[in-house]
Amino acid sequence: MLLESLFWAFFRIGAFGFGGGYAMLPLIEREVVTNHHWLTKSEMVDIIAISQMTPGPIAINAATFVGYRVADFPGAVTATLAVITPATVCLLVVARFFGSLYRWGPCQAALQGLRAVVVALIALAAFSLALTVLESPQELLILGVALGAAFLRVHPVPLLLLAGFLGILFFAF
Amino acid sequence: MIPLIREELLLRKKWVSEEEFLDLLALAQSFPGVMAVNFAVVAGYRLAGLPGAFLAIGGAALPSFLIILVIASLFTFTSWAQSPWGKAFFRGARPAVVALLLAATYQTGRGALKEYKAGLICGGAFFLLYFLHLHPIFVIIGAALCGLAVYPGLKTKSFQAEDEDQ
Repeated sequence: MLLESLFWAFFRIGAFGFGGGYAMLPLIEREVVTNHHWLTKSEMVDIIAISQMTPGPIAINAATFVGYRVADFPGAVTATLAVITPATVCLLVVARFFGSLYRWGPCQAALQGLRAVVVALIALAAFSLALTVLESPQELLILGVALGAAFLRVHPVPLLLLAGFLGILFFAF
Repeated sequence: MIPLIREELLLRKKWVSEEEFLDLLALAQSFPGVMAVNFAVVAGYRLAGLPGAFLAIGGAALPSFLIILVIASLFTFTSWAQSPWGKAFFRGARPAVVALLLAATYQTGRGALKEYKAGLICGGAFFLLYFLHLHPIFVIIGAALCGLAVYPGLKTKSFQAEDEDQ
């Protein structure tokens, strides 16, 4: 059933998505684009762009958007609840019984390993999306401008608006 | 996001002390999923038990849920996103998303890959993900196990140690 597969797809994303929204993108891509074909890769990039221009975490934004796309309002609710369920349940159990388990040495060691893999996951998302996105010299130019702006710590909202404006200049006419 | 949470809970409402805030933050970041929601769970629970946790989750998740709901329905019911201008806007924004990801790779890499063991885990993970197309879940579990194997002597963290980090 559709709602059921929506729930489990986003449950897996919520259960294994360590290190924030960008690091969750390969998981989201695997579930939403590769496995279930709910979105194309460029639609996924559009959702990332939208979620960077609106407040709120990428994972919630992606869950709501994909859920709505696939199964309207019930889908949006299902996917959004699914993505926050695993951590919420674990945290409530932990908060209740093992307040400071995370400070225990072996937990810290595992987290250290996870911190390292987060870098690889973000790099993977960047490379994998770059292959679909960069179709023409104009797009490479926008990438260069945006990269410069990102390293100068321009906030994502003006950065994406600028890129979108350049897109209109290059591609709308 | 973190400065915003700190401002609201610690400075304005004075619900938690600095020490408690760092403790809750570390706990929230040690778990998968959405950090802001995780923080809402532990802070809500600490302040007002289970009802507190669930109300805080609602507060943390509802605004973005509603905003995206509106945007998603606009995408479906009207054609502004499918108009030539809308299409061109998103075609321009896509390379910028790649740029943001590349910059984030560099920034997290500089923070997380300070010694060669972390570099090896990261490099190995990238190879398995990019070239062998392994499922991210396996690579993530593998990285946690590698962490256990290569950092065996890690001491249990204390508040004092966290204060020294500041």
